[in-house]
Amino acid sequence: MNLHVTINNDPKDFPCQPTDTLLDILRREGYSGVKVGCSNGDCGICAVLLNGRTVNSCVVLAAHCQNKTIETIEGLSAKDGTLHPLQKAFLDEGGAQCGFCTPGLILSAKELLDANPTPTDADVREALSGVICRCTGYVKPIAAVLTAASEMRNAAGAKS
Amino acid sequence: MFANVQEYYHATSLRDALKKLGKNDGQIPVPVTGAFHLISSKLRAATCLVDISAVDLNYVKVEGRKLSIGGAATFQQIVVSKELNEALNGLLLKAAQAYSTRIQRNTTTLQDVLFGYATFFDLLTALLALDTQVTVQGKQKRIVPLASFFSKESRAILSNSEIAVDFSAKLPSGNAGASLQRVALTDGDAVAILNVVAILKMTGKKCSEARIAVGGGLPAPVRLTALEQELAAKPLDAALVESVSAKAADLIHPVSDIRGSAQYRKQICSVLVRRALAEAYQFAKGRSL
Repeated sequence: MNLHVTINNDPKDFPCQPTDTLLDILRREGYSGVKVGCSNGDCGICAVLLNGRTVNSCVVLAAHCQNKTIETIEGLSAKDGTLHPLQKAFLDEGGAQCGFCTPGLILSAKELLDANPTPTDADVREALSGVICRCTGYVKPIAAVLTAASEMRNAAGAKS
Repeated sequence: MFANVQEYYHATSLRDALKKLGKNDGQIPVPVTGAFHLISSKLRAATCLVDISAVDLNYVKVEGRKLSIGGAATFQQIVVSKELNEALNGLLLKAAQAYSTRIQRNTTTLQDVLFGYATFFDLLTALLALDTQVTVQGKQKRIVPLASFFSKESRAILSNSEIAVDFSAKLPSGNAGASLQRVALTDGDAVAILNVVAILKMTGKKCSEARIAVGGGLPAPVRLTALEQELAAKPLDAALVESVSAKAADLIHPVSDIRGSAQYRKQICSVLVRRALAEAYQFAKGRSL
């Protein structure tokens, strides 16, 4: 079958088997920011945004995503390389740590901030809880999300 | 999980989905909404997956006292529903949120839960306490109590060619309060060692209606109707709640597994029923027992 999706604002068409997972397709097509973790839908490392909602791409069939919008970590920065405030905050706060779960954490945080620009510490913890960090350090990622939220609010305030 | 799947079909309407599911052309079609891991046992034999996520079944509505949840509505939709936040002091919202994390809830639907017969969900216990009716659409339409899917004697089954299109319940009127109590290995554990839901409707000092459901550590959630009858039409006080709760342990038949023994589950059942009744009373009356 032919899979038509929009990935990071670019319309794409890929050949696809009905049994291919979204993770299979994204990795095969070069989106290496999507990491392979448990492959069982438990760890959240492979999270991507599907129509704006985080999903574990290892347990979602690619065919399910027909005509839908997908965002991976590669799509967050601007075309000129300017980092998204979340990416910048993860670097500044030391939240990236070993980096393996970082795409899942950042995309989970993006889902949160898109819906709630003024999250509490508890909101951030809840939003990140689907991604298991093997470095076991959640303090800095949480600080990074709160910092990014603050900077995004300031930027929005400066624009208006 | 998907060894035999040859076709993925995107249904454009309920009628289209049912036509494909009911086709007798040598294929084994099954309905899917996105939580593939919950229905893995059904997927092993499937040759065609009929995606119903674009069919109009992803609603969460409260109209007056009538609650309706579409079979393809995600648990996360329930969590963020403003209407459900206000109904029964957020019982269903809390029950949906008890399942795992947002990433999991973004794809989990009641259709997949019932089709995969994953009975541990706190949300099922809460819906059972609300006497939820399930509208099942196949070649024919049938409306069956959610309880009948958990019945030992004549269990209702959701077949491959059917879709649980709607879950409806009547919310209690007047001074009603509800409580979900759960014990799990960790706060974030999707599967509770045991969960208990109590709903109390108070008329003056008397409990005019009580509902108690227990799930999580049982083969399927159950209602404790004997206890509900003991509470009904009586003035509620701490002594009555204590004596009724003590009997809860003997009314359930829990499993022993990695999360806890059957004996432990029986013991905490009485504790959780007592706490649930006390909290439900507090929500209904605005003061503690």
